Amino acid sequence: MRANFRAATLFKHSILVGLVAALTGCGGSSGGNEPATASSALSGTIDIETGTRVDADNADALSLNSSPLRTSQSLPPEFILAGYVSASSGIYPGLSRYSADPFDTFSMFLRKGQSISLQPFSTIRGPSPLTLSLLSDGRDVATVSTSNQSDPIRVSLPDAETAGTYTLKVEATGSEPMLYILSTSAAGSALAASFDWPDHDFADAEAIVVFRQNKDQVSMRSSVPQGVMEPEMELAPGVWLMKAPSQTARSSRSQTKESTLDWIRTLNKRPEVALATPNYTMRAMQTPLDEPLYNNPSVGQQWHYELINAPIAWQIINNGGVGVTVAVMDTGLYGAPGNWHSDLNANVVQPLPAGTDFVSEAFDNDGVPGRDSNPSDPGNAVGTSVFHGTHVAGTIAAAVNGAGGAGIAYKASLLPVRVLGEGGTGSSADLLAALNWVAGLDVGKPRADIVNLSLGGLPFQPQLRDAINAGADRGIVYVAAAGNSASTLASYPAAYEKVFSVSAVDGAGVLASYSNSGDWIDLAAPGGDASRDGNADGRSDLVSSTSASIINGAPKETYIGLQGTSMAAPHVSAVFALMKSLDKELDYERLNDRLMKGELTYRDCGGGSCPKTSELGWGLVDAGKSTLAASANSVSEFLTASPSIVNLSTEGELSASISLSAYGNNPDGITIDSVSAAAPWLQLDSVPASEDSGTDFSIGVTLLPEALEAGISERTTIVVEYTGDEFRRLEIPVIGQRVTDQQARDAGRHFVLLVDPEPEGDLYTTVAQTSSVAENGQYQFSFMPDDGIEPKLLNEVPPGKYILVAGSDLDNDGLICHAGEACSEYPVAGLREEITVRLGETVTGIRMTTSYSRPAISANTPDILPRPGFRGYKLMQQRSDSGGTSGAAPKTIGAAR
Amino acid sequence: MAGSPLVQLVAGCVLLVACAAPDTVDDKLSVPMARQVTQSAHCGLTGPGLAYVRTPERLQQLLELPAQNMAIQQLRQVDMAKEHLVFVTLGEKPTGGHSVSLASAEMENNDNTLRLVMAVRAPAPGTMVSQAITSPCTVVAVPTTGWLEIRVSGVRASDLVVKL
Repeated sequence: MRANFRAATLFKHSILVGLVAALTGCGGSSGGNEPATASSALSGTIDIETGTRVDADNADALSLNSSPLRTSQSLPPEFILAGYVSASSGIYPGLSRYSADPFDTFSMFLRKGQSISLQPFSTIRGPSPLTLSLLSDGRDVATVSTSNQSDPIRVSLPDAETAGTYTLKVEATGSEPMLYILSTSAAGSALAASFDWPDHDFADAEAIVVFRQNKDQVSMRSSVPQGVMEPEMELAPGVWLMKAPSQTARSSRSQTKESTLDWIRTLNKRPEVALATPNYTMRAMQTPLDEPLYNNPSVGQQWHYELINAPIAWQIINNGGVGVTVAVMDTGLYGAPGNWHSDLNANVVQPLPAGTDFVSEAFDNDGVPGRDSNPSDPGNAVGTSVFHGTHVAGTIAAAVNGAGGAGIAYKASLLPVRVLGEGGTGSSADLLAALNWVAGLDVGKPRADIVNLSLGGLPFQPQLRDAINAGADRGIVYVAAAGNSASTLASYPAAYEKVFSVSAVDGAGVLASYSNSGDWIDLAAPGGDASRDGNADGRSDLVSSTSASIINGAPKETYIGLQGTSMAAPHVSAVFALMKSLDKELDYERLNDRLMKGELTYRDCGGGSCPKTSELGWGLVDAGKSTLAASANSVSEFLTASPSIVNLSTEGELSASISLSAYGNNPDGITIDSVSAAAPWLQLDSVPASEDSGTDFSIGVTLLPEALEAGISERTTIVVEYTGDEFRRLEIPVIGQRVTDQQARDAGRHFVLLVDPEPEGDLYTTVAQTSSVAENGQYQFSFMPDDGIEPKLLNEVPPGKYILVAGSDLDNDGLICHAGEACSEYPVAGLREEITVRLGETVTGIRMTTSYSRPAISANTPDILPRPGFRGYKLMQQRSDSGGTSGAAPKTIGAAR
Repeated sequence: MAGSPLVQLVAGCVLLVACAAPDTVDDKLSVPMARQVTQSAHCGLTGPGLAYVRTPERLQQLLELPAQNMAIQQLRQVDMAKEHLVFVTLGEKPTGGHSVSLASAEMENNDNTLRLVMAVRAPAPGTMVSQAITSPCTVVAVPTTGWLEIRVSGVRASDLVVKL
């Protein structure tokens, strides 16, 4: 064993550590058993993200042993793999060596049309081309090459090819070593692709029929046999809206839909009919689900709408919040009056009332110093702005118009009120003036129904409180961002009593790392977290909305992702707008009453009554529940499901219990007609019987993993048909996944470093280092306390404050965590926190996750990008002349290049 | 300026020289040794520090970050054969109202060091600010040769140093 390690030290790194661990009996080789012992200073476990694989003959592995692999590595159906190829061997600037490995081959099962993408990454020797080929028994099916750039390339299984096992070959076609990341479509995109909400969006018993010759009403009535179709309206010459004969009506709604389609099929067979199509109602096109941005991978799909059940809300209230005016007190809007951002223009109050720009001279940058009537956001005078108010307004009420995205209350009216000037700053005097103005004391009625305040940082001021109280007394609902200081200190205006204070959550519904918290938080909403991928969709959790960017020197309207409680507040404002469109009487008191009863939020506390928490207040806003609560004042009777989306996985819950609750004036009257699920992988364990009636029902379901293809997410719906005041159906999405790769996950040998929190130049100083190989899909690591005995071993750590990081060195250049390599930071990548090592104390149980992805993920590829100003963490080098156990480690490797 | 051979400095050369007090601000900013190309409140760079960019490829990497809004065109117009780019970033800030810009550039240390003095702005306590996370930065173009190191002061307690 010792001889093996000696060989390794010829090259570098902390192999010594494994030996020390073995000698001290703290587990086997590097990263073995539970390493935490009394003699350890710091220990923990690094998990590996789903689907992660590593090229077995990467340069780090080749530095330890032998020659490149001669056989193909097998890959699962969905994976992300980092690899290394080089036409020849050589030496990097510095001393590290890289080995020759001209090509890598992989074997995998490809589905029809499936594609594999490759993202090239240069080593410090600079870019060099790569070729990605798809082979079948030696036959070249598809080949594509990089062009020395960093752009990803992709091969797809051509339509003419059948599904089956294929070989992927990555070849170094230039002279320099290269890293690459090979992956199936971005993690989670299979899920997103099947995330189509089924819509029954055509009119019952109607068809639009194009006749072969122009038929006027008289001739048509005579030529079309009675009992086939009945003309309703001529839409264009020769084009008619037709009604089906009445006998096609059926008792159940789904039968009606099916019979309408059957009838249209028969129409298409008639000689006089050129084309018959369903009369698609515009309703499906009128929710944000159908907007291009909703699932746009390049901007990031609007996961934040799914998280709050907005799609359900849009089914319950399909008016988009029409008739409700939301004042956005912010930086103004991109554009000019009458010509705002094209996704907002239709919903901006027209004409604007006078005096909507309250920014006083000290903060103003719009070319007209001081208050005026133009709330245009000029951007920053210095540097690029993100048009904060435009982004906030888009989340509330961007229009459904077939372009971009849409807001949650996509037909509400936007009243831009500019109170923030240069750089997004402003004064409380300007805010006070705006609040008094919007309360409408001068004109006798409020100028808005809801006021969104994505701003904060003010101390308590009685004048502001009084202005808000005056508005609240007149029915205005105020919603404000809780603030991003990760503090519990009350931030105003959010913390005023009659303001709904909104904290921010990430894609998993967990409080965002930056969000304020405290007993003054009322509820939470998605604010995003660029450093996390809480919903595992392969993208960082940013909130996507309208904005503008400098393109070719001039600002142009666009869509971007941002994060902050500023992004959370407008979700709540918009949900309130949907509610107020049904019930104008909803004021602060009534909304707060419902909030405290749990009617507006999603909370899971095991069926009991949920207490208010300092993080999420009364919970994460649930647009579905909220709109149901508002519509309960009308005659509708609805059934709602909790959870509203069911996730089943062999790695998570295999079974789930879904509670169905009735809402409405007379919920006792709800009668279940049928419960069904069509997917073979979903078993309905218990369902309410047909004809059951009441207010609460439950459904039990179990995943049948063997009916699922391994590694691929599938989606189905449980359909509950029921009758309240009318026949309705509730569709509960269920996502099933058979995870098989946990044990097989491997991101390559990991170096675990404790580095000085203060960088020197653009590198951090590594103080202690250990290494670990993946076992059962995890890395175990442990550091020893510095015993003060020279030489200091690499894995000995003196007391102090450190940043804990880990990663692979696939190109063997002595740096970990750069693009193309795995990286993990404690507690989460991108949000390093200091760890304190104290004399005589042991820190155990540290948990981290490693991944090739960074918080900086862009586009739809698992595009790994470096942290700018950051080239990776430098590994401590083992001197090649040092003896096996006594190598003196350099204490600082700071400004090395 | 003397001919400046590219010196490969070795590990451990961490210089903690006290900041030269920037009270002798170079009033000859028109001397084109360093110029601010652009600045932005949303550079997408999460850590405070600096990045030295020598190649268009490296620049491209920095321009593909999420949560970024920069004047890309202006940066792409820089001829990397003549000028390199220094990204000076404040890292993530919790609100609007933060910015960094080039205040002055001056030669020091027998013209071996180019010092870039940064002006950093933060909202005064109690100022009303937008509550979106920002990542302010500025990008300064410097001629590719002419000094052994670049020191950036005003961003952190100690200088940020690039060795050339």
